[in-house]
Amino acid sequence: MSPDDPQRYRLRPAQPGDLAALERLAAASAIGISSLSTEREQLRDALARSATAFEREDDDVSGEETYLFVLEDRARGHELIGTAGIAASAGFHDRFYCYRNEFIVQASAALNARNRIHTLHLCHDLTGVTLLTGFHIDPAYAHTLAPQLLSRGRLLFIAEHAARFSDRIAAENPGLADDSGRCPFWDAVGRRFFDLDYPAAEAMSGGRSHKAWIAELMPQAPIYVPLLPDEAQVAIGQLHPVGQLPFDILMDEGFDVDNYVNLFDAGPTADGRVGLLRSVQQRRVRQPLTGDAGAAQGRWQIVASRARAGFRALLLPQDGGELRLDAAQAQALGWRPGLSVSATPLAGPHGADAADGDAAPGDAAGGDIGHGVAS
Amino acid sequence: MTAEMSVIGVADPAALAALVGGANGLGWLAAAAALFDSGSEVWAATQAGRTRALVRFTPAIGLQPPRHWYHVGCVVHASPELRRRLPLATLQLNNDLTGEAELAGWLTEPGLDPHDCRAAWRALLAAGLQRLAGRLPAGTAAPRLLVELPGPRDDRGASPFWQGLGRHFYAGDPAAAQARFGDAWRSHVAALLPRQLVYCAFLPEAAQQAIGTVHGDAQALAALLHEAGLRWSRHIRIDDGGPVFVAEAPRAGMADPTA
Repeated sequence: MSPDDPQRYRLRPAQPGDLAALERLAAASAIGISSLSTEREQLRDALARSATAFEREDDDVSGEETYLFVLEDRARGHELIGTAGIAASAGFHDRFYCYRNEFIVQASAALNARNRIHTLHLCHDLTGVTLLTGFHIDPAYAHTLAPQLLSRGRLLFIAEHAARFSDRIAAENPGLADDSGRCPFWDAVGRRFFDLDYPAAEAMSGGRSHKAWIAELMPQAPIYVPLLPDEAQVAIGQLHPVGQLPFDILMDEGFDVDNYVNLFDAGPTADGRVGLLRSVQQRRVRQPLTGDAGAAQGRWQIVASRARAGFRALLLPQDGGELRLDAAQAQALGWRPGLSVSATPLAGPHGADAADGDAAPGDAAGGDIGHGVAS
Repeated sequence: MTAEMSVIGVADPAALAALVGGANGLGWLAAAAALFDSGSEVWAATQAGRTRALVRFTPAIGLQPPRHWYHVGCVVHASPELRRRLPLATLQLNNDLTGEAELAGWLTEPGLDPHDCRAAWRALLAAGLQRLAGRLPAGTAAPRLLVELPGPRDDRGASPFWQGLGRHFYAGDPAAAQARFGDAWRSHVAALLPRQLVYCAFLPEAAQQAIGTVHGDAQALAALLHEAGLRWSRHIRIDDGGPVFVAEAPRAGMADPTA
């Protein structure tokens, strides 16, 4: 396997044995969209909850499940190079808070004047929505196809096990803050109600999951954005550069970013319909054959097993209608003849655009979520 | 010995000219003429035949067009879990004082000495309170008499309250709107102002300070209103944050100079 062969990466559910590797990843200040805890106990807890979620039968799910995935480099002894998660139901125990962008237009005919006022409404719109969480990739792999597999592979899992998830999906993205944690939006809004620094407040929120007390302290009436300092206004919906990579993938999938922002730093919270996401729309259930997959033509697809706890996903060259897996690929996917897999072309410059979807007759859309060919 | 102050109604601008423009021969006639408005009366405080002060009495304000104020309120955000308790001042645009009576447009004879000025104001205020007492059927809620006071301005006439709040919603000048539309200016400007609760914490310090603060030039009138039993209603003017003083009910013990 050549060093730059995308087939070296594999996505799989995290396991309790990944603790040490995850600690290393956290300590290495990986590129990520939320702070990956460096606390051993928190990581251990997250791994245990994820293991439970993957094992739980469809009949037993409640929505409180959180799924943690890890990305391995098979060319380097299965070294762990990234992680990302899914929360089945945002705010499961309570509510999920965010600000909704709204615009109010007022006018006075007599004064021949009209305004368009941006307001932020504290809301629970995204409560119960499936949440993409904790994307982290080793920076050395940022410019490879590894992050594509890490981020989009989760969508194949969601599509496959749709009954366990909402048909709406969202992802928080980091807003503007400097290295010391100074955050212009927090200083203009949150601090007035909490009198705490942003990092302290975020820590208090329990890693963005336990925010019941926010309702008690944060402004309940709409915030009139023009009343905020310029610096804070500019920060609303602005992405921190550290989140650019995972954000671009979400954009490409068709997430909407104009609706919601994060309560603390006003970073954009992307949202969408699972069934309308690019990877889900172009997902097909395939019946692979044994054999040589053939040479890569520079266009790639994500191929995933349909198992739950045994979920595996790889990047493989796009095929001309006949998906073949060699012995090593079959083993990496946990595939054996007779099993079907799900596959979706990788979007962007490394994959096909929507019009190129090579859906052969018989490649029926994958039952529960497939919506036919993308427009 | 100061001569007694009397309050008389002024029927129309012609009568006003006879009162003010004649014996006094003063340049305040134009300003005084502007007091006349449909639905209002103009009252003069006179002393030994001289007109000392003028005021406009409106029996019921805000009927047409509506009049707007901000109510200064408070919400307490408390988290027992975090042991935090935060009282927050708020502003809510409303028409709370619709239908109340008002004394407005206080004008005094130029050069009037402060003692006589206070006597004239006191007489006009007492007349207003008396009027309300007179129309009060037994057992009904007392009508209220309100007086709006101007808020602080800087040297160039700019209001820190407007700079901090209103201008973000209306780029024009409220004073120009007032000159053009008369009393209706408030409803035109208010159409552009925030209708939802505004947390004062989002306003600049100077704007917060201006809320309910009386302009220096109106301190004497404010003191007199307080002395007569009027109190800040926790409402403020929408343009400069000046307070609205209200008398809950006619006070006993106020002499009726018109009697």
